[in-house]
Formats: sequence, structure tokens, C-alpha cells
Amino acid sequence: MLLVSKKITILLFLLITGITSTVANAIDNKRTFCVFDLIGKQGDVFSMMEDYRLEALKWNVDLKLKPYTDEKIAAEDLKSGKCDAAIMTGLRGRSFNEFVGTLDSIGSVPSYDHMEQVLKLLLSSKLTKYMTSGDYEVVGVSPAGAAYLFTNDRKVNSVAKMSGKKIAVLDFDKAQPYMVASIGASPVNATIATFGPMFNNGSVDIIAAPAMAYGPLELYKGLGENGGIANFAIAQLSLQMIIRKDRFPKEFGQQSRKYVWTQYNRAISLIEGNTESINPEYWMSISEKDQEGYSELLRQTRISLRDQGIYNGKMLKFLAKVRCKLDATLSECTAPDKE
Amino acid sequence: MCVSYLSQRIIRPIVMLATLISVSGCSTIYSLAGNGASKYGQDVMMPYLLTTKDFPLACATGESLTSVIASFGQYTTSVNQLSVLTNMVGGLCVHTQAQKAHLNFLRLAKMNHIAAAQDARIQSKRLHTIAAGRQYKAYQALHSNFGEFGEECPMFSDDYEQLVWILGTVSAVQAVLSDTAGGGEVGVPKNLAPKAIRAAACLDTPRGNIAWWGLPKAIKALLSSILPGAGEEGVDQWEQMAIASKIGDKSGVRISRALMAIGAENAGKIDLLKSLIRDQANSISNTASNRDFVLLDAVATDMIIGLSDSLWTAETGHRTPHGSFGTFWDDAQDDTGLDIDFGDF
Repeated sequence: MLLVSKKITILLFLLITGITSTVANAIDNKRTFCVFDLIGKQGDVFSMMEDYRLEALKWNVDLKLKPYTDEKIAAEDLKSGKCDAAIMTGLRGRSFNEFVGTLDSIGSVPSYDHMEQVLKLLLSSKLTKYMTSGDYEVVGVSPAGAAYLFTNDRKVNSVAKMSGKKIAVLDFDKAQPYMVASIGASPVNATIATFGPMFNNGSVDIIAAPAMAYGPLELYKGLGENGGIANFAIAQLSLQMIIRKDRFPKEFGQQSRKYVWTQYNRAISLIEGNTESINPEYWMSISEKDQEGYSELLRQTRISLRDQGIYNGKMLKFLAKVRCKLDATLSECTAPDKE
Repeated sequence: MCVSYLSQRIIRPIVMLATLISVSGCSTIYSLAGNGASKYGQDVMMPYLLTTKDFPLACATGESLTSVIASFGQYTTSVNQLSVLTNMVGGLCVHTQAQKAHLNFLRLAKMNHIAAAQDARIQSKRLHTIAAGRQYKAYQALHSNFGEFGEECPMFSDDYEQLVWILGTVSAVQAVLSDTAGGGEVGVPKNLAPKAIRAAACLDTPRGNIAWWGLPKAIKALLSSILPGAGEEGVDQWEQMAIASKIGDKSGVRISRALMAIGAENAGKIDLLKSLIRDQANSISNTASNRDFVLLDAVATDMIIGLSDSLWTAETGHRTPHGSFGTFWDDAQDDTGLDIDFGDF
């Protein structure tokens, strides 16, 4: 009788401590997630993150979302520890994880089909180790749309004709001024907040922008009657979710990456909606021959940027494998200087 | 004499009406009815509705009349202006419901009731989509009536047209925000936001701001603070919004502060948002609503209470407690009593 009573007491003790520790975990795992959305709390990214927040509760982490309209400050706050996690563009995210940040490299992901395959493969356990770099781990990548070249003069329909033109470059991405200078054009420093107005008021002749910028920034004003948009993805932009690894449970990263992947179609449908909102008359088709030429030009630039330590070689190699898997006839697949 | 009188007063109009119907079908009658409805709506119904502070009643009226008014649209364009207002009111009704669903989402998420919280979020998105549809219709009616939005300013023939213009501009902005919150299903063009800056600028004059409670300045400054590179260089948009809020305070229609509070929440400026909520609570207890626009002032306060509720719910799990509008859960309490010498009490 005494033994049974003792067992019950132990069981009760275990039960109570178990419950207490579960509650304590839920309370302990309150974390600040800094969300870069150019529009702010009312924007698409923040809305997407509200859904993410609910999922994170299932992984026993209670996220407090904080909107940032300046990506630079969000990145700085992640570095200083004010944010336990942050979502930002891959261009900015490269300083936290060179491998995943190289996803946004020029010309390496030519289409959304490629993007889909790339993001699916990034879930592979073979690549998990590359998700972590120092104190940081990338816990999700969402497509933000292809970047296209917008020009105020549709006669500038080839790389050769871009020589001497003023092209806006994002001041923190070292790859952009290099690329612009290498084709003989003049790079003009800009930020995410200023590149649209600079194009619209004629301070620059050419910008690279995703379709989602077309409406809110009224880029049709800069395009005017003579402008055009080259129907050729110069890069695939992405949004990357980065955490301070020690602030989250061990399994959080993979759980998060899996969930973010399930949201791929939702993100693509938003991108497609934005792309369809562009006046069709602005699209300039690029001949297949020219496309091949540009792809090679971009590839050579990537190799050069890799050698300068700006792009991550492993990621470039991985992306090249995806391109060649989807189209084995590409000349780069048999080139001696493969990425 | 009697026959002649009958012929003149009764028979002749009937014959004319019958002729009219036989020649032009029912469209003339509907057109006349539409013009009448528009005139009645503009001269009697709207001014009356704007004087009530009973928002649910205004909602019911707006929602029930929207289709009736819109149905005349195929026979006459005179109902466009009224359509702007009824659709705007209808949009606000659903927006309020969406806001309630959002509060539920915050509360349930806080309680770790994930499936229920997800359900509340889905509900909130659906309601935002309906709100976006109505607000976009308000914009379309504005466009049909005044022409291209955000290009040249229209020539306003009277104050009522200005009122329709400025409220229609607010609806266009709300349509963009609601559609984003709903997941973009309506497909409201995102360029309505920068266009709204220029539309508001049409009335952003000293006279326009006094007549419309600082709203033109507030819309312009709010959107300029959100859209990258949209504002004039060297202009502090938050200062502009504060000026607009003061004009609204004086006039007893405080929509400008509501817009500034939305901007503060959007930018994550929580201290500013709290301060604006306190200001609104003080203002409504010190300055009465403008009696011609009681409804708009009540809507403004409801919007700010909604923001206060979001803060309270996220932190405490419940909305702003009764009688506590303008206060917060973490306000320091003054526990210091009077310095009394109790002696040998």
C-alpha cells in the first residue's frame, strides 16, 4: 500500500514538473523577429510573417514581430542582438551567410522553374550544414521575384548599347558596381528607397528591379513613352530568414525551412500578380541568341566575383548543377571553366 | 372646363409619360429615379447620416443602399458620387469585423490555441478581401465621376464634391491596404497609393485643410512616409501629420490623427502610437465632435480604439478595458499618498 502511494507521488511529481517545464519552455522561448518590409507592418512580407509566427508556436517559440522599413537597420539590430532573428533580402543576407546569400547572384537562376528546384533542394540534409555560418542560421528562403532591367530608352536593347549609360546600383552590394563597370556603363550609388525615384526623375537611365516595385514606385513614369523592360531575369531576388542560432531550439531551423517551402506557391502567385500588372507594351523580348550571350557574360562575371570573394563558390557550383540538370545542352555544362 | 382641366393636368402628363415609355422604354424612368435617388442621397440622406454617431446604424444603411444606388448606375452617372460614399461606409463595416477577427487571432495566439488562432486569421483575411472589394468600388465610382485619379485636379463645383473627393481618396488607400491584408485576391493596383498622394494634394491648401480637418495634409504625409522616395526632400512627414492632427482637433473631426496612428503602427513606432492614443482620449473629452460630421469623428475614434485594442490584446490578451482608453497596462501607478503625520493614530 505504501509502495503504491509512493509510486503515485512520484508520478504526480513527474507530471507536475513535466507540466511546469513545458510552460517554462513556452515562456522562455519568447523571441524578437525583425521583419524588413519596405512598406512596413501593412506590407506583404509582414503579413506573411504573421502566418509564420503561428507556425513557430507549434515549434514552441513565441515570436514578437517588429517591422523595419530600413533593411540596413534590421541587419544591424540582428548583429547587435536586438533582434533574435530577421528577414531581409538575400543581397543583404550575404553578410550573414555567404552560401545562401549567393542565391541572389546575377544570372544564376534564370527562371522560376529553376528557383523552385533550387529551394526544394536546399531542404536536402546534405546541404543542411551550409545553412549555418558562425552564429547565424538561415531558416527559410522565399522568392521575391526576378529582377529585370528597366531602361528609359528601348533602343538600348543590348549590353553593347549600355556603354556610357548611368545605371543605379545598390550601395551595399559589391557585385553590382563591378558588373556595371565591366560593361562600360557608369554605376550610380542608390538605396532600395532611392533607386525608383532616381529612375523616374532621370538621374539614372537604367535600373534593375523586380515586378513588385513597378506599381508602388510608379516605374512607368521613368519608362515613359520610349522605355522598356528586358524580358530576361538578371537575378532572382529572395527573402531570407536568419536566426541567431543559440537563441532558438535545435530543431527550429529545419522545421522552419520545411514550412517556408510550403509557402512557395503563395509567394509565386503574388509575384505573378505583380508581373501581370506591368503594362505589356513595355516588355522587350530578347532573342535566344542574345540570351545565350548574356548568360555567358553573367557567368564570366560570377566567376570573377567568386574569385574576388564576393560570391560563394559552392553555391555557384550548386546552381550550375541545377541549370545543367534542367537543360544539359547549355554550353556552360561542358565549358572547361565550370563554376 | 372640367374636361379641359383634366386634359391639362392629368391626361396630358399620362399620355406624355406613356409616349416616353413607349419610345425609350423604362430607361428614362430609371434614369429619372436614379437622379432623384442621387439628389435625395446627396441632399438629405448623407448629411443626416454624417450627423449620427451610431456607426452600426450607418453601416447598415450604407450596406443596404449600396446595391440599390449602384443599380441605377447603368441609367445615370449622377449616382457615382453617392456610390463613393456608400461603398466607403460598406468597406468600413467589414473592416471593423476584420479588425475583430484580428484581435481574436492575437488573443488565441497568445493563449497558444494555434488552430483557433489560424482560423481567426483566415477569417480576418477573408473579411479584408471583402472590405478591399468595396473600397475599390468606391475608388472606381470616384474615377467614373471625376476622371483619372492622381493626375490633374478636378474643378470642384461645391463642397460636397470636395468631400466626396477626399473621402474617395481615403478609400483608395484603404483598398490597397485591405487587399494586402487579405492576400491580394482583389488585385487592387498598388499604384493607387502614390496616386492618392497627388489626389490629396488637390486639397492640400490652407483653405482645403481647414475645410477638411487637415485630412488632405495627413493623407499626403502618411503615404509619403510609407512609399520610398515619395515625399518632398527635407520635409519631415511626421511633423506634417502632427500639424494635420492639430487641425483635426480644432475642427472636431479627428481622422488625421487616426491616419497618423496607422502610420505609427505601420512603422513600428510604438511609443508614438501610444502617445497618439493618449492624445485622442484627451481630445475627445475636451473638444466635442463637429456636429455636421459626428459620424466621421466617431469612425476616427473607433479606428484609434482598434489600434489601442491591438496593443492591449497582444500584451494582456484582452482589449482596452472599459474606461481605460488612453491608458496602458504598463503605465506607472501613482501609489504615493499624501504626506500625513499619523502620530498616534
